[in-house]
Amino acid sequence: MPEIKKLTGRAIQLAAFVSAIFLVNSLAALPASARPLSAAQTLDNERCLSCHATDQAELKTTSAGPLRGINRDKFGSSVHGEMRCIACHQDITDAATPHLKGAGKKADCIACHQELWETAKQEKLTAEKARLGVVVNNIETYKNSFHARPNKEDKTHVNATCDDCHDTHSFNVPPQGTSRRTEWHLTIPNVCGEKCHSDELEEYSTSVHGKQVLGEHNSKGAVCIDCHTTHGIANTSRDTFKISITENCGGCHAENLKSYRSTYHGQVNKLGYGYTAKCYDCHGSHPGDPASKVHPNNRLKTCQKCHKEATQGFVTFSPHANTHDFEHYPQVWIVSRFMWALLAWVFAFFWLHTGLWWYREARDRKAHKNHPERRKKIP
Amino acid sequence: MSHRTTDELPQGKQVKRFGLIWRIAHLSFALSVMLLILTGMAVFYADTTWAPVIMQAFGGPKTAGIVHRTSAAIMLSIFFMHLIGVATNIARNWKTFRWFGPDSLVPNWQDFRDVYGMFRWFLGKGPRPVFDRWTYWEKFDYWAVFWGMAIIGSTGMMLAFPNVTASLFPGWVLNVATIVHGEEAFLAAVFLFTVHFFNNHFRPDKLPPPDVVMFTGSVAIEEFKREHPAQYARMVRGGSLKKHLVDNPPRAFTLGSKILGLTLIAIGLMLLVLVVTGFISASTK
Repeated sequence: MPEIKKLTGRAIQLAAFVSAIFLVNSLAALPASARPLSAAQTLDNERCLSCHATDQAELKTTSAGPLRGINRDKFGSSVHGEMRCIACHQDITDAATPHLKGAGKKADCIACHQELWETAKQEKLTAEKARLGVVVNNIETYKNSFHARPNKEDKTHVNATCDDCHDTHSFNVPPQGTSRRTEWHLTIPNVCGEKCHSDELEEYSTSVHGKQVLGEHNSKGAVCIDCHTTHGIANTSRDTFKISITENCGGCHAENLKSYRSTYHGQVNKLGYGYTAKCYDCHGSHPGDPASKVHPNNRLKTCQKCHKEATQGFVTFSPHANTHDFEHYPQVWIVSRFMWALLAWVFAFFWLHTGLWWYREARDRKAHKNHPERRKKIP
Repeated sequence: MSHRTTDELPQGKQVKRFGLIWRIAHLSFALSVMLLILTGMAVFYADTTWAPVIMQAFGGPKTAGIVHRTSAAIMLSIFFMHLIGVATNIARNWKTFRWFGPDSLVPNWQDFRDVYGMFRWFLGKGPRPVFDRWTYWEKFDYWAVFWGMAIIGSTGMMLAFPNVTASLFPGWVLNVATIVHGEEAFLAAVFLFTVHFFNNHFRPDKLPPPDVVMFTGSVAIEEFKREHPAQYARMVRGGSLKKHLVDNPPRAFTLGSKILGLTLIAIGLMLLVLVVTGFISASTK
């Protein structure tokens, strides 16, 4: 039985497709002046907003749920504000409830933006429209990201689309360095957290980063994308994530990244392998109390996550030691200076020795003084 | 007078300088040290573009770590077997062995006079010193290995067994061991591939490289007379020269030794390039 149902469904789909092609072809065959105005062409933005604008008393609810609300002002000031609704929503052909979906494409950010960029390239306007190039790059990055992969529970959908993070109807990333940009930046934890990553948002809001951003509105505090990246976001179990995360934390914590890179943990990570300790292995990822895992009382337990047999001395090992801070790392400071002095003296002596030897022996050879019988005395 | 003695010598003879076991030891030591440098420097200079390539070639840091430790085990066992060999030799000749004599590698006052004499010669202020069996730079090469084994070996062991180390010492010992291990290895690598290579292969008198005495074991009489005139004279006086003469090594053996020598030199110079680029990129960051 299910097979028959499936087949019937296919047949209906096929029929619809064929008739749609037929319709489009027959319309195209008519001269433009003789073509009747289609319903879609009469659908201007005001017509759409008469139902979808959020400034109405209340959005209507249809059988499919409440209507998608559009903020008239936000849309107007967004990068897409000049566009007609049906430029993206090509499948909408009428103003009826529910819409009778036509043969046109559903809103497709990726195809449209790729087309725009191709056109810009053909018209040699890539410099003027550089922003479009950025979008296309972001799209390419996105395609390899965790968000672009099919959702585990519903394989027909990807984990997140453009609209899930960008709200395409108000999309407008303010230029860097403006106060609007700062405000926009501060909204990011909620963008990620409210719809999908609610557990992480809860943890994050109690962390030192979260308190800075959500509590004190300090734009210098890290938000999700500062550590996890934006379009190229990867599953945290993948090596790509494990390798990029250290650089991302290090973007702010530069000194700590530098000292981390001088230990085996950081060296192996730099080589492109994710298995040694990364920032979050010791400091936690969205921790409530940042001191808890590295507090001397808990530190051995933290080390033992990887070093199962770790002994007491691990607690006083400094994973972020450096050679210039005598106050905190006196032994490292002393030993590094001893080693540099040793190297300097050994090389100074022997390279001088080598250089002079080269000079003298070459001169003696030229003068044919190298033959043993010409040597003076042999004791 | 000395060249008259040479003329009386049978042609096609060389002077024996290194026995087979010492030559095998030197070769395995060189190979294991090169592997240690390659696998170690790829971690020490992880920031370079070449380091990840080396790591991938080894199949990742875990495999490279096994190669590193295996090479270390080989290197250390050669060193300790050498110690046993030397101790047996000395014990056998206990009554006659002269600790500060010309056949001993123990530094003596003559070495310091030779250093002074060499610098005088460099500056054109005196004749070139004449050397006996071991020159001071050869003695330095020899004793530098003791220092290197003690320093790099002990810190390497500490890092290879961090749980033991951290149960005996405070944690900063591991910090210090990391620095000492890396810096001392840098010293050893750069010293070997510049100073040691120059002294033995790239001096004008030695050109073209390689000097194969450490692979064939013997050296042409002419060269021996030139490089170790004091020993030569001592042998002639004591009548023991004939005892040390050996036939010219077979042509194929000499050719093989040259190829081997050039290969090792080439690898060493490549390692030197890697280490130097690593050093430059680390210090310009």
